[in-house]
Amino acid sequence: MAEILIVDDQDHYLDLCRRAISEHRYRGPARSWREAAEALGRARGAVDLVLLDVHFAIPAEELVGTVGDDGLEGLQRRQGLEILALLRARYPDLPVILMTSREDVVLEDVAAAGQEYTYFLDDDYVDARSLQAQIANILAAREGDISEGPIFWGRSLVMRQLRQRLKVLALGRLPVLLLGPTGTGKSLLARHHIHQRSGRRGQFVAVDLSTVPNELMSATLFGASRGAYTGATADRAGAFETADGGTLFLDEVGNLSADAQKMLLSVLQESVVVRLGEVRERSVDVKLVVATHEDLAERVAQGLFRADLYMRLNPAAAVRLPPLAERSIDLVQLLEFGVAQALRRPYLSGLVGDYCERNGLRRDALDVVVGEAAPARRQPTLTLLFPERSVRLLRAHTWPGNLREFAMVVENAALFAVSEMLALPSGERADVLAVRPKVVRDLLGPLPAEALRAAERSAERAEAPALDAGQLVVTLSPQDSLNKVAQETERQYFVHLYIEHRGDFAKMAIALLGDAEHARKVQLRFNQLGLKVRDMKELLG
Amino acid sequence: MLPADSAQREAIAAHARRLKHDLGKYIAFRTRWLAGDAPHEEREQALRADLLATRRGPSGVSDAQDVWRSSRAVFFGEAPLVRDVRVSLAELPELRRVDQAMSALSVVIEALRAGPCDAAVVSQGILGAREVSDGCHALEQRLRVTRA
Repeated sequence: MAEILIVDDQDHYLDLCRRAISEHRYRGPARSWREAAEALGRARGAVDLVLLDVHFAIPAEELVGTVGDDGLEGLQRRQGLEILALLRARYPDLPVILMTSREDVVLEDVAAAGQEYTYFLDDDYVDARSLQAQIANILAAREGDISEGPIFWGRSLVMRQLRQRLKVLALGRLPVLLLGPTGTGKSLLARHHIHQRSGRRGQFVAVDLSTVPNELMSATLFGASRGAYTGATADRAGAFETADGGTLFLDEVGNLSADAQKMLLSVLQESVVVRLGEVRERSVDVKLVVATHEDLAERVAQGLFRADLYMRLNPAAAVRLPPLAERSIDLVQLLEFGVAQALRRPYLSGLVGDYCERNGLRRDALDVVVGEAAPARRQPTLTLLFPERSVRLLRAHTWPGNLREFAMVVENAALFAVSEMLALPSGERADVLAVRPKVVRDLLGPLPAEALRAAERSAERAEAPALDAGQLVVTLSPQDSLNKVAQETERQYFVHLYIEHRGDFAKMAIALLGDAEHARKVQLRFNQLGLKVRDMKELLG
Repeated sequence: MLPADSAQREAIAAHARRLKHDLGKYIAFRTRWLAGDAPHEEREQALRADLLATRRGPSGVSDAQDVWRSSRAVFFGEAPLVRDVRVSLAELPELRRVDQAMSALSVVIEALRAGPCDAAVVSQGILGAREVSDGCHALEQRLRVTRA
């Protein structure tokens, strides 16, 4: 059952839809843009589809748009198109059925309003059956929309529920708290989904708090006047002021300094900021989105994060992004998505383009196929073939770096497949680039496989690493922040500890925190680091 | 028959578009949604609404004859199309089709105004309304100005 808003100056459609297409719930009719905007605001993202009439015989003061050569009546007769333009600006991906046929509308008007997610009736004289079918088709297509710009939603129930929840939270005034392991796409969601759907016209501003030194954190967020601290040579607006009217995304919010926590609490309570060194309050209207890979509640319990601030961050409505390993149902679609995204990168797209040109293939299309062989060539397009064994390796991988790691692996896989063909043409089909299992295996190392193999070797020798002697070997690949380096180091440290204590979390807790009582805490952290007991048990034999 | 002046042709096309919407769409709006096995009361109620309350606006409710009357005057040259310009399209078969269907419907409209109607009158009304609707569609197609 879908929630449908009817925007119509008359009761016709509402009456008929309720009677003849009773499987959905209807709101309205909203008789003007003002009423439609109010209804959508009240619905808080719950509306799935809008039925929008075109002709609104309503008083001039209720109309939106400008009266043209065709006078007031002209504006009334195309009022639906004016409303459509406003809907598109505020709700870019909300499906709208214009209750008229395409041929009855001056197409330039609709083009201006944006045609994506805009549908027309097949026939101006609509009947229940055809409208019912059209609504069903649109809703089904929407369900099947597994990606959105750079965001891959997939089909898993957890992601569908999460998407629905974010749709509602984006429109609200309360902060949105995003939880989940590193690399699960929290920042993408904040920028490309929450901000886009918040209806806010101000800027999107992102601050990664793991990269801001403690002593500069307050100034970065709330601004500072000249001379407020050593090095403050000029007045400076903070992130809150810059994001006024828009969205402020604070990544790794667990890193907030104690002072900044106190000030943030004040901003959330009063909606004003005071720059360091000033007493003047400045009003700010900011949609706050915060993210962390840490267990904030745990940090509160440890006294590292203010409980009152935590409660202000709307933890009851927190959105937890699942690790990639829990989304294996979508792996094949994710591969296609990942390849498409990778092909936007200049180097790879250039390489693939050159390859296509050299082999008489289309530059603008690339198919991703999973299987032992690519289908017979019907068109001059390039196919990136992932043999089953390669896919099995991808499925078996635990993806501690989640989507970020996946994107790198896919991009590299495509890159190496092209490079191999350029260096050593197989002499067979030039239109098929195979991502061989060996390439995938190499790409999935050195982490965590490398760490696990190192641990395995230690276990085989029955010699746990002499940690107290400082002999822990950590293998690191380049990371994009110090925080991630620290996390990776911590993860490998946990692997070694696990091996050393034969999977006994109580003993690990004694080693780490001096108290076996903290075993649960250690296990939680173990999980947060993307480690799986199942995999480790195999390692222990 | 059709004026050579492009502005006048545009005006006629716009008028036909309005007629198709205001009369052609709404004269059979509710009856078109009826299920095949809809009971008599439901059919009569839908027809009554379509013919006697065809359009609603700030100035009140208009029945099908009100809506047709103003357009008819323009198409038959009895009222100006734009300013002082009058054109008559009386010879257009699509226009005559609408006019005749509306005349035939007047009996049904009177019967509906007088009170409850029997199934035969309602069926005649539903068919007649569909004929007007289809005629308006054909007229609009005929008068449509192809844009470059």
